[in-house]
Formats: sequence, C-alpha cells, structure tokens
Amino acid sequence: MVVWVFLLLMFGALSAALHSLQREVAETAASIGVQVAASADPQHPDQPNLQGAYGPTVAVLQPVMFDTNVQQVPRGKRCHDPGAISPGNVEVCVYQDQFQGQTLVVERVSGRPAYIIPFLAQWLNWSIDVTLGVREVTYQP
Amino acid sequence: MSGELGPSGPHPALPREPRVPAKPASRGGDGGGKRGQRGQALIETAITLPIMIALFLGFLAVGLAVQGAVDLNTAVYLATASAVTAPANAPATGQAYARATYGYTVQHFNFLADTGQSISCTGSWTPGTPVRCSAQAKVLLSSTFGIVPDLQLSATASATVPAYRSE
Repeated sequence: MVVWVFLLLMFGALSAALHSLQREVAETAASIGVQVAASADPQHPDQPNLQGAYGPTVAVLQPVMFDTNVQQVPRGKRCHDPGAISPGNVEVCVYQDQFQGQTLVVERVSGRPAYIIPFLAQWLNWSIDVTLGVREVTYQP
Repeated sequence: MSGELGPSGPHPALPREPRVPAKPASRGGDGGGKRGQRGQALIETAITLPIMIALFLGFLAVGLAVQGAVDLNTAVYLATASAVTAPANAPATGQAYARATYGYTVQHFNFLADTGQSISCTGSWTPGTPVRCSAQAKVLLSSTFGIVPDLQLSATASATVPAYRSE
C-alpha cells in the first residue's frame, strides 16, 4: 500500500510540476505575443497588429505543449473558457478590450493540455487560462 | 558416489550450508507472525503517509508562490511597457496607461490579491529618460492550504521613453 501511495503522490507532484511549467511558458508566450499585437500593423499604422501575435506565441508555446493541439482563434474573437475546451486542446486568441477608459490589446491562452503522465493526472484536470492586456501603440498614418 | 550423503553428513568436498538458527516458536504460531508484519506495515504507513502528503502539498504551495511571482512580474513589466507609450512629458497619462494595463492583467490571476491600484510609476516622461514602475501584491496561499500564510510580493520594472515620442 505504501508503494501505491508513494507512486500516486509522486505522479501527482510530477503532474503539478509539469502544469506549472506549461502555465509559466504560456504566460511568457502570451507576453511576447501581446506586445507584437499592441504594436502598429505594417499596412495600417493606426491599427494594432493582432494577426502578428500568433506566430511568436505558438513558437514559444508549442515545444512544452506535448501532444497538444494549439489552435489559433480568428483575430478579434474570444477564446472559450477552459472548461468548454476538450482535453488536448489549447486556444490562443487576440482581441481588443476596454478597461478604465483605455483600449487594450488582449491575448489569452486558454485550454487543457494533453496528459502525458499516467494515473493521477487524468483526475487532476489541470487547465491553463492566461489573460494579458497591454495598451496599444498606434501611429498617425 | 560423489555428492551423496553419507551417514555422517554431506560429502567433505561439498560446501557446507550455513547454519540457520531455529526460529523460536511464537505463542500464536504462524498467525502471530503475520499479524506482527501487518502491524509493522501499518506503523510504517502511518509514519510515511503524512510526510509524503506534506511534501506533496509543499510542492503545490511552492509552485503557487512561484506562479504568483511570475504573474506579478509580468503584470508590472507590461504596465511599464504601456507607460512609456504615453505622449512625451505627460506623466499623468503614462500613469493611467500603467494602471489600466496592470489592473486588467492582475484581475485575471485568481491567486493574486490586488485591486490593481498598487502600481506606481516614477519618471519625467521626457524622451530618452527611464520610467520605473513598482507594485505589491499578496499570493493567497492561506485560502488554499489553510495553515500556510499569505506571501507578500513586490516587483519592479523600468523602461526608457522612446526618443521619438511627441507631445
């Protein structure tokens, strides 16, 4: 019995550590992407570059999302809540939002990465939900 | 005939088996020995289980504290990046940009207790000069782990106002 309890706790700790790693990388990826999104669009300098956020975000995010499908939600549309996303899928969405009278560019990484650790991870149901906002930088055309 | 046992024991060329002392007879026979082993296993479990659970919860608490620190650092970093996009020589506008960015980001982090008003930025917002922002927040460990106290964190970031910002 001690062996089983030990294995359960060890896999639980490993699963928690992996979730922590994936969440911090998701935050870093969103932080990189949202700054690209907040900069001006090359074609329209008075508009934020929402489409430009996806490339850098996915490039940082994908290596730690083992066996997980990273989906790009069309720009301007919002992600689903993590509970509504099936396991093994993570959504990246970029949109604009109003807060305290300011227009912010927001990037959200939301979803449930695939489980790579057996046993306990299937019941722990880890999810990732990172939302970062930054004020857009625009220039007069 | 080699290897056969003679009347007085094994053949002298064969290695001797080690002598095992006879087990003392327990009062309850074999059943008593099994009960003793079961009791020993229970005692070992009772000792190791709380330690393992404490270790597991400790891992979670440390993970949560690190997550809070990373969240706060990111929020302050993005707020500072927003602050320096304000028009030149407009500190009030820069402060408003920083507060909005920080507040929006922090409100989505469930374990950070901050209303979003704790950030403050210093600087002249003159092109080419630095702006420095700092904030404090509490990581809510006590609501999750009971006996573990909340953790007070602070973060600071600085950025330079771009030289081409106009008023």
